Amino acid sequence: MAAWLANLRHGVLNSLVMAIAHFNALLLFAFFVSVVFAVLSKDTPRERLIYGLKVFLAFVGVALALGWLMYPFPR
Amino acid sequence: MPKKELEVKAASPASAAHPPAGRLIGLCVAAWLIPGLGHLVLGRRGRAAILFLSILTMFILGLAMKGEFFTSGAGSLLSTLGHYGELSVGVAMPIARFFGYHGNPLFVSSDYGTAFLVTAGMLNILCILDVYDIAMGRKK
Repeated sequence: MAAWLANLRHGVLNSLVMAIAHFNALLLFAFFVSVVFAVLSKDTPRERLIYGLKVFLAFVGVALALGWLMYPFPR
Repeated sequence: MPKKELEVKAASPASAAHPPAGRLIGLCVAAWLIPGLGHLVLGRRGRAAILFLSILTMFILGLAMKGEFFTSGAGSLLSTLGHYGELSVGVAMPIARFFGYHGNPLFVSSDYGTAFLVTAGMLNILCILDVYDIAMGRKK
C-alpha cells in the first residue's frame, strides 16, 4: 500500500506528457480563455456564444497577423 | 431633481444590503481555493461548472506540457510574479507539488505549459473578482 502510494505520488503527474505544436497550443489557449471571458462577461447563452466566438477569432486572428508581420524579422 | 442624484438615491438601498465582510472574504477564499466554488456557493451552478472545467483543464494541460512552477525566492521580479500567478489557481498547485510534479524546462512544450499554468491562475483571479461583484449585488 505504501509503495503504491509512493508510486502514485511520484508517478502520476510526471507520466502526463503532451508535446504540442505551436498553432495547436494557440488554439487550445484561445479556446479556454474565450470560454472563461464569455462566461464572466455575458449573462445569456446566446450572448456568451457570440462574445466567445469573437474573442476566440480575435486571439487567433491577431496571433496570425503578428506572425506574418514578424515573418521578415526571424531574429 | 437632477438625474444623477436620482440614480444615486436609487442605488443606495442596494448598497445597504451588502453582505458582511466575513462572508465576502469566505466567498473570495473559496473562489480562490477551487475555481468555480465561489460561484457554486452563490447558486450559479452552470457558471461554476464551466469555470471549474475550463480553468482546471488549462492547468492540467500546462502540467502535461511540462510547464515550470516559478519560485518566489529566485530574486527575479518576473519569477516572483509568475509564482503568485500560478498560486492564484488555488489548491491545484500544492496538490501537483504533493504528487511530485516538477516541470521540465528542456521539454519541447515547456514554455507553452508555463503560459497555460500562469494563465489558469490569472483567469481564476477574474473569477474571484466576479464572485465579489455578484456578492456585492453589482452583477447578476
